[in-house]
Amino acid sequence: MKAHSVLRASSLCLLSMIVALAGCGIAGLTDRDPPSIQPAARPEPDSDQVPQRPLPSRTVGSATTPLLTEAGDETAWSDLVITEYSHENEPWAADLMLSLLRSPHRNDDILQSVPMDSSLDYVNIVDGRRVSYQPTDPVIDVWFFGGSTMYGVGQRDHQTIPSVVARLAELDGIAIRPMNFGVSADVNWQATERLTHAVGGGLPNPDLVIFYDGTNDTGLGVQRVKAGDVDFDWVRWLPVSEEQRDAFAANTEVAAIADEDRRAFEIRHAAEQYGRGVELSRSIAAAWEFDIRHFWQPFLTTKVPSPADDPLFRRLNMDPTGLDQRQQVRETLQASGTDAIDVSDVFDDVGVPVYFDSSHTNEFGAWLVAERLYEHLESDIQRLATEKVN
Amino acid sequence: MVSVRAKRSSRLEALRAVVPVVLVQLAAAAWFFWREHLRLPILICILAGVAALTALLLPKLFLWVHHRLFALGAVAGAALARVFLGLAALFLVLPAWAWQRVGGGGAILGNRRQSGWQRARLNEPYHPGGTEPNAKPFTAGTSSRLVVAATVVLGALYLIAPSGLGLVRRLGDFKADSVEVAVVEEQTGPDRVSQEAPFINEDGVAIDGSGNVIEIVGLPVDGYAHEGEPFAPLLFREHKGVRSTPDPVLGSRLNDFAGTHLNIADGRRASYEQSLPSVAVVWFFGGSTMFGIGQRDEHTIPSVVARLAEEDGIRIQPVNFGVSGDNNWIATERFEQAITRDDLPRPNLVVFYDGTNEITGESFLVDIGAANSGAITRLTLSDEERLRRREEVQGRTSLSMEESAARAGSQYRRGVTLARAHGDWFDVPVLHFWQPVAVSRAPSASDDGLFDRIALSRQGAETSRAEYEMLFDHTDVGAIDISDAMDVSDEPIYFDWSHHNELGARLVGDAMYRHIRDRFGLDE
Repeated sequence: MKAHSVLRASSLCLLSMIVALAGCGIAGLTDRDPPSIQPAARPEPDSDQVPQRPLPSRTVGSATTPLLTEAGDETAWSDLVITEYSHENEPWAADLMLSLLRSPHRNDDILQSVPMDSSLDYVNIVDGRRVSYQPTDPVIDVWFFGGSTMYGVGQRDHQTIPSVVARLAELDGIAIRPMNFGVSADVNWQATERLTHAVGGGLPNPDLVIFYDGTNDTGLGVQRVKAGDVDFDWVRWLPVSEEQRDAFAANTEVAAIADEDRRAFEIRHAAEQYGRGVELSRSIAAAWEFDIRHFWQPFLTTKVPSPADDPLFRRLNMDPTGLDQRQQVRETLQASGTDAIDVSDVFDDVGVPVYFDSSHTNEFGAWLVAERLYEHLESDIQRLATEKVN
Repeated sequence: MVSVRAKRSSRLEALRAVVPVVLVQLAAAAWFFWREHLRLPILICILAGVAALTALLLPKLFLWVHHRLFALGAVAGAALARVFLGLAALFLVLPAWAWQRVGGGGAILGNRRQSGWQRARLNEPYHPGGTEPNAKPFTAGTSSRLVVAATVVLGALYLIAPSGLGLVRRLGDFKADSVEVAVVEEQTGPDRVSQEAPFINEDGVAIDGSGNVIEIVGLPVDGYAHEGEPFAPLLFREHKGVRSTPDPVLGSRLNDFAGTHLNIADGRRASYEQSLPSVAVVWFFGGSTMFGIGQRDEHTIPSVVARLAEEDGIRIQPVNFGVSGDNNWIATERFEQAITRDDLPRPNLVVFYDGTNEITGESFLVDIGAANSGAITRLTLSDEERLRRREEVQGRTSLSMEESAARAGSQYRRGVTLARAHGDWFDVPVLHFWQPVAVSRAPSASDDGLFDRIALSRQGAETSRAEYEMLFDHTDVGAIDISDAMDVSDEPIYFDWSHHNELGARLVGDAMYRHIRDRFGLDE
């Protein structure tokens, strides 16, 4: 009972810290006048016979009206009350977020945190992995790795990025078995370690492995510089609790970093560790003979701001002016020496709310990301499916 | 994480330390209050409050001050003890003895014929002399109070002085921020029983009356297995001084250290260096046995291999990545971090040396009743970790010896496969060696002393040997078995379940080198 409580508290703490960390590089506080928002055209829902796309939003919801759970509770996600903003036509949103907060994780000496099997409203964990949409008679196995955005914070089980990729492949007549290895706060290296634990661990070998990185990796770079860390040799993980942040600070050899060097150090920290992780995962892919792709994800400060984002900036107490991190992200990616595919611009032309915090999106956002991933993966998936069938 | 636990531990330690301080202060305040002093009790209470608050809010500061005051107090106490002893001998004991010798007697030293307190007669007071009803009842006069007080003080000082002196010796290297001794609290085998030692301080270091380290976290340091090794006490003192930093990925990483026999730079133990430039770099990974607990820098296994290669005209540069507590999986992760670094010269060969931490880790899992979940585990590094892991187990699972060996063997196999995959990718050959442990050695009379020390019967040793062999059988991944490397000698080698002297390192290095030399174009 005690252990259960501790685990529950740990998972609440873990999840609630992620949003704050994702926005750790963002500063500045100003208010702006409410914008006039022009919702963009969003896809209409398909028929009941095909995978369901998110309902379009014709209006922009209130940024301040809290969504209540079925029990009548107000849900806060990292101190941000879940409101109608970005959750229009998502009446389940409050219950979903409550389930995400309640979803238990266990401590792991090596991986830091592992989701525990559980069954909650819209959030189900089996064998330590978030449940995904499963087409019948899958022919290829696709494993997905990443942080909370891959895990699906903001989406129901069957609307997460892996689920949508599976749905899109199904529309093309290819049944894939997606496995969602995403875990909140995972940086790329950690996700790669998760891959090393998975291969040879009793599961059928994957045909394709997808990594979806960026937010936590750049956030870690910011965090390391903030802590005065100039040791580039050791790999580090994103601390996700107060205790871990204390430990992070206590176990860092602190150096004074001049203001003008901070950006360069942030880039170097993120790029070097990311590059090393990608190299390692390629080594594993070669040995276990599967294809591997790395994507560099979007987050709020890589998006071209739209008026639809203004309520979010107000919610986050942020001034969008000068927050543009696209250049830094591009430099980080370049410095990593990898050929990760940059999809950080996926929301640039979207005129409706997708983010409800600095990195997590609603189901529409997950759908758009998955569509972009699938564009890049389509030919691989088709080839792999053909090879498998033949 | 570990650091946070250490922080909690600091707070607990501070609270444990402050409780007696506060209790004594409150008692003193009560006594002064009873003696109708008013201001003093208030002042003492304030001090007690400050001490308690400091211990609660600033535990490290409190411990820092506490340790130093305690140490200084011990020094002062020791000095006072000597003064008291001298004064007592000079002014009390000698005159009293002389007085008694010339025919006197009395209460102070007692009556030889009628010593002790006896009830003389009903309704009469107790008499020290016993049988003389008219004798003046014993009342504590000035001299007797002095004797009683001196006795109490001397007794107290006698009790605390050794601890105080030990702390004084530690003053120089006491660091409140340091978290873990690098010689981690490894479980050293399933049947390991710790030895009793005269004085064991907070770091688990046993120190004899002369200040020599004679045992360190369960590693006895005496003549046994250290014959002809006069450097052993200093070497183990340096082992004790090594610190490590908690690492969320690797468990721990070594801090730099500079000593006479033990040096660490950039997280790696120093090794023998040839005078000529090396032509091949060999990386060595493993736990404490690869790190070289029990050997000087230039006599660790990597150093021995380098020396043997040098004799064959092969100039290799050994790099010792061994860290106490690393099992194969963690060593593999250490390899992953190293091989992806741009600033390290790419190795020509990578060597892993495993076994003891695989079976030790598995023994712990069996002990706590952990189910076979397929999860990768590392060796627990502290009592706190072990306690946490024990508490996390939900429902005890009992595994047979075969199932247990299969679990540990499976993890080892996965680690080896992973390391080899990286070796292929980075174009570096990787070799895995299965190490010897005390019970894997062919029975030898020279080990009788060892088994006595670790309280392991011959039958228990046979059982452990069977477990170890079964585990190796289950690894089934082609690791090179050199667990019989010590069989060629009849000398004492091990000083505990797995750690050995420099002779042992020479034998292992020799066995290892015979498999390595062909990598450099020399056949066995």
